Amino acid sequence: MYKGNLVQIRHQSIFDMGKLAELMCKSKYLETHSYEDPRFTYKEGLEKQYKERAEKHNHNELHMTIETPQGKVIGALGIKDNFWKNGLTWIYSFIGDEEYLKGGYYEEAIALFVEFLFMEANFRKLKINIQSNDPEGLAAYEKNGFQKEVVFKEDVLCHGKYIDTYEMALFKDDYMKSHNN
Amino acid sequence: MFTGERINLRPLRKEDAEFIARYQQDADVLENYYMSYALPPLKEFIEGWRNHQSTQKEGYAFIIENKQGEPLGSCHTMWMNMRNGTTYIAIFIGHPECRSKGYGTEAMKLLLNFLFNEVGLRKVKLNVFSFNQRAIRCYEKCGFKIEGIYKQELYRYGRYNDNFAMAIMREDFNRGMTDV
Repeated sequence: MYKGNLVQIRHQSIFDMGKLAELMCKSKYLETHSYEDPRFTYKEGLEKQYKERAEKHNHNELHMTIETPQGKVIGALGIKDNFWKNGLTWIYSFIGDEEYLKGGYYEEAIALFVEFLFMEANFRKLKINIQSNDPEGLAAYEKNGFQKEVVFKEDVLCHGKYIDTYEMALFKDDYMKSHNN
Repeated sequence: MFTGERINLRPLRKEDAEFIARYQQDADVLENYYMSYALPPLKEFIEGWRNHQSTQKEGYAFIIENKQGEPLGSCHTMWMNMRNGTTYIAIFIGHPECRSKGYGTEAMKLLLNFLFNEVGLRKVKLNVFSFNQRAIRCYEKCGFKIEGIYKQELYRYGRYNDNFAMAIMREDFNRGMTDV
């Protein structure tokens, strides 16, 4: 478990899936993560799907829960696609409990995860796709040193409008430089 | 079947697996096409590819053939998202003697016309390694523009190489077709 002042991150347990499925059915999550295929499933369906994923345990994936020091689950993050040869991984993340979207919770969760991915998992480059209608997500990654590499113009549909998405990245070299200083 | 001046696009068939597998394992195609060299042996690759194709629920895959019906290469969609009207595509010309002759450009225009004006997509995207200048020229000729650069993304030839994110919108493609 990685502990910060505001949040801690830990490996997901099968008992988290109900709460995470509930958070992922909230409109804020659906609006800011709509690059995913349309998800015509109900909360219980999603919960079942994630429980099955946890039971299969793919060694090339890592799924963690973001919780407060009191153990309240507020979101999740993880990695799903790794290219070990190229030292790359793609992160996903969300704070589903809107009460914790502001106030530094998201930023600290990302900081803890980035530290783990560089210092323990030994990745060279981390990547994340963020929608332009997700200012909290964008800020959390920017504050952790991520920079935009690609602006996908008019890439996803949200409330009848096509909005941009950003591909952001952080190199281990840059992270080490800023942390050694 | 989509007919061009010198080539046609026809839907992929199960018996094309060997052609695809043989050329995707060709060193030149491989280094321009894949993020990894870790492909399975040919026999397993063909089997895996056949199984993958038969379980594909969406997306389109074509063989690029000459007017004599000989396969020259292939093109297909990936991660098609009908809600957002977007897809990624990939293309390769297998026969070395058929490269740099405009077949890829012609095939790409047929594919884009199909995806934009039949399937109804709004945006087509692709990634191309920075060292694949031949492909970049082809994509630019078809109207693709660079949306951004994934820096130091691929370890090849003993160094980290960039990867270009390119895209074309339907209205730009159709405007370009009219201009021609």
